[in-house]
Amino acid sequence: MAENINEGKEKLKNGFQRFMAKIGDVIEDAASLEVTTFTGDFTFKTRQIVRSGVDKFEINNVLKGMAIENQTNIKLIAYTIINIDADVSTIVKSDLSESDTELLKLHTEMMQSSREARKATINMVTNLIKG
Amino acid sequence: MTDDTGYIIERLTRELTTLPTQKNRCIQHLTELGYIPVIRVNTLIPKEVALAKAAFLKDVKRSGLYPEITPGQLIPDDDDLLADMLGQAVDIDEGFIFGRLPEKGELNLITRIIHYRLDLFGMWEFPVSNPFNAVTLAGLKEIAGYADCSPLEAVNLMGDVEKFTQKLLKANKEEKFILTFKPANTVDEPLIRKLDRRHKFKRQLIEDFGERNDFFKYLNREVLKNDPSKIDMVFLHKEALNPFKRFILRLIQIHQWQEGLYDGLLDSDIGEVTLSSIINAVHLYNVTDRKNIQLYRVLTYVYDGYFLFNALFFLQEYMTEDQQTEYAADAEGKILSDITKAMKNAGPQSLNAFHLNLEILKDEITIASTQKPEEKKGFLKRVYFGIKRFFRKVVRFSKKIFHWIVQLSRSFMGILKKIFGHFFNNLAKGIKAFIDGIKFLFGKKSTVTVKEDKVISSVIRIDGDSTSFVSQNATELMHEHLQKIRYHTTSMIFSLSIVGGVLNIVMKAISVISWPMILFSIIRIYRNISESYKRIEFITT
Repeated sequence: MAENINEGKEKLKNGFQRFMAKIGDVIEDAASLEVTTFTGDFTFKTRQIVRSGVDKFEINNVLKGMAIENQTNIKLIAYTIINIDADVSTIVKSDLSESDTELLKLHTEMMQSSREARKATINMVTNLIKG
Repeated sequence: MTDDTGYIIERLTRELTTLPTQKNRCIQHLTELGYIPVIRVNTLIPKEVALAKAAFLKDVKRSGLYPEITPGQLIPDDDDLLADMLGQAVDIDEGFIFGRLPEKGELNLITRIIHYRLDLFGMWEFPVSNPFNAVTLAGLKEIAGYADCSPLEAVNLMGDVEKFTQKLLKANKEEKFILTFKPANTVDEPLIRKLDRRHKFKRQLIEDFGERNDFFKYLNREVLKNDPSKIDMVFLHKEALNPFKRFILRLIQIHQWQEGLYDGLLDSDIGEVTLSSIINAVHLYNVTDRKNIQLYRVLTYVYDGYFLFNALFFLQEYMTEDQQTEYAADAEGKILSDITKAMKNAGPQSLNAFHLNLEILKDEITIASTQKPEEKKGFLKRVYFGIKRFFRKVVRFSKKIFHWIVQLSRSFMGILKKIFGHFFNNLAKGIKAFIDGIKFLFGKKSTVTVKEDKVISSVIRIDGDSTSFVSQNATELMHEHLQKIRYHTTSMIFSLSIVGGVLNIVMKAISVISWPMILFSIIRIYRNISESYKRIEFITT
């Protein structure tokens, strides 16, 4: 705990207000959720990931890296959009191979987890509003 | 993150480094359960600890005792979770209840817990890691005889010391609780003089029990005599060896240990340390309950190193009343709430003293947490980590805790350390969960499963959008990855609840925001939410 009880008071205040604002931003995006599953050959990146430690791995970095290196062999396996009114649309890659079909299981699980994540977010916001 | 949000995360991360560690608690419990031999404790090497943790986790998976924990959580490096699971195994407040005894020759976590309990009560002289055998059963039958129950009930009663005490009091006559003991080492003369109250002890005994049976008659007429040379020493010697009475002395040592009043060895020897803890207990309850119970009500020195102890009064007065406490159901919540209220109402001087002394308290607790468990004379020096019963007891002091810290009252330091040791542990877990939740909020968490050149990676953002990448031929990693995703999702829900709860409290008091207030909010919210998650933390690393 702080030596001085008032240390960084303004920063704390602004920081917490910023957290609240961030939640506000998020809730705007929660009206629909998108689940996307890709496959592709990015073994080079995998090696890089292992070297640099998996915790630091971020998909965006991989995507950026691929774009820079003009590596385009990424295939979309499935894309699902679930609206808050429960409308669901899914696009699935045609001519799925046997291993691609396996990936649909991952996609389905991710849909479930995404729903739970959105529900958790909505619950958090509801509780914040209710006080 | 902006500078200000980053500042909060950076400061919380810094706070984490100052909080107590769970590593040594794991070592103590692993030793208590026989995964580490007691004789190895003083010279342990990390590999032995790692092997012990792995053996415990293997037993956990087979035991069925932790249904709420998913296999994905069982990571030997997670000392917080390991400490909690080990803590549940060695809990004697609300310990595990078993439906059957193991078969002879069976060695599993349940056998170890039974041997641990017997060991604690001084009824087991062999390695805790021995299989369930005839000696186990003999020990259980002896305790069952004391408590008038079956061996299985005895096992379960030992996991709830307060209930066990009540059962023992009910099953045995009053005179069985008038104990005689002779400390192994000589007690200092001033302490003997302070406790030599034969006459008053006798008068009190007559007042309480009269001469209603031969035991009390004999005690009054042949033992509690003014002239020491006429005291029946053979009687005292025989009484001091009585197995049931020795067992009750051990029970009292356990009670004192549970309450943070005794930190010596659990060895059934009522020496100076135990005597002082009994004196402290009487003093503490006198102060807090505004009573004036004199020491002779409880004990007296008799002669030639022998003491008499009225354990009936001691157990009834101090050790079996927890359930009746008004706030017993949520004692911890009541204590937290009273401290928070006192903080809000305190003047600037008291508040500053509180914060300063809390730092001192934290340092002492953190330093103690880095001290490794020790073996002494073949016994393990144990710290009691259980808190449920303890909180039910200390809730009666709830309104005084803030002032004890302001005054940094050394007389209550043992109790304060126990209370805040627990709070700081919760704070550490709460901070981790809060940071975790903030990372979710800012989309910084990903789940990655890697094997050789294969990788599956998924990100679930807080608005629910998710993206997964699966490298070629990585489907073999799917099962493991999906397990991680399920755990990750649960941890996200848990962490977001913590973030929401903390924001809720902090935003209501944003104009008077202070760092201690934030930390106490985290402790309170973490506690409330983890209770609703059956005390299991979901924190991703």
